[in-house]
Amino acid sequence: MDMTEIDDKLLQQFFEPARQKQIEDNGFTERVMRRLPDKAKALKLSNYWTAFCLTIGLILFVVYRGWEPLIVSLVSLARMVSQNINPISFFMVLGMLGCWLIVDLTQRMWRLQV
Amino acid sequence: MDSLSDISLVAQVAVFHNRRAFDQLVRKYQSPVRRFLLNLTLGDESLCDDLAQDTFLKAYTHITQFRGVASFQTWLFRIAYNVFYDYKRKDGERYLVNGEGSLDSKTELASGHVSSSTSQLKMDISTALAQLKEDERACVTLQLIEGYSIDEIAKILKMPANTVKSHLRRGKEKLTTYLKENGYDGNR
Repeated sequence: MDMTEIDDKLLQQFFEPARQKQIEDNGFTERVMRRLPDKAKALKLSNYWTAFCLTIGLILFVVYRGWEPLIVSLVSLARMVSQNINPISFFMVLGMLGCWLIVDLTQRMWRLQV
Repeated sequence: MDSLSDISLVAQVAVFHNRRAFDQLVRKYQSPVRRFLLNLTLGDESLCDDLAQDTFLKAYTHITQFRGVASFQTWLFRIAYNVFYDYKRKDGERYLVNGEGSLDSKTELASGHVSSSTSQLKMDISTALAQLKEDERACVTLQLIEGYSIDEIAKILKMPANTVKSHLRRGKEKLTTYLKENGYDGNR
């Protein structure tokens, strides 16, 4: 038996009690959970900021008659698309948008539950 | 299977901010994390609990950085070691002086008292670990108490595997000498 083997055996025996020991929770988890940052609050703040930006955007849209260039652009886009539309690409894009919408809605519902 | 359930819990925390899922993770891993920190701090129970709380808070705020390459416990141990290292760098010299820690607040866990029917000396794990340098202590704790392989220890401590091997060899030599000098022969 060489020296290293004897050492390892001795150390394994010495550390055996520490290896098997489980520390009881004793309220530790609750203390951690109490200290967690409130992500829901941060989410609320971010929602307020989004609402604020949206309101400003709407006001500017109305003041500068944003619908006029929008209608012109949409009409010319519709004309262009109707002339050379590819149905496969169209349905692929539609499918992608649908998936994204479903994932987004599911996430929002989960957040509301939590 | 266990790692899959961990990944599922982590995903719930990361995507849906599910606090109940994080509660489950803390309950599951508080014991190994606190045991690891308790050994690193040489049995200072209150300090260990503070550092463990910081570890889980960091894990929560950085949960999206968990990639699932290593196990969740390995990732937590890496954070725990960083938290301990940061603490020691800022404030640690008061409790660790040249490897001889203040061992006043020993806990039940840290006191791995081993006694035999005759003249077996009461040997304390914290006192024994205090003989080691900090890196040696971290390597020895991770291998002999937490059961990690050399490669895993290298990942947790961010050290080359050869450095881990050197620390382990020196640490084990010191511990063996210490145990033998103090009359511990391993017989119960």
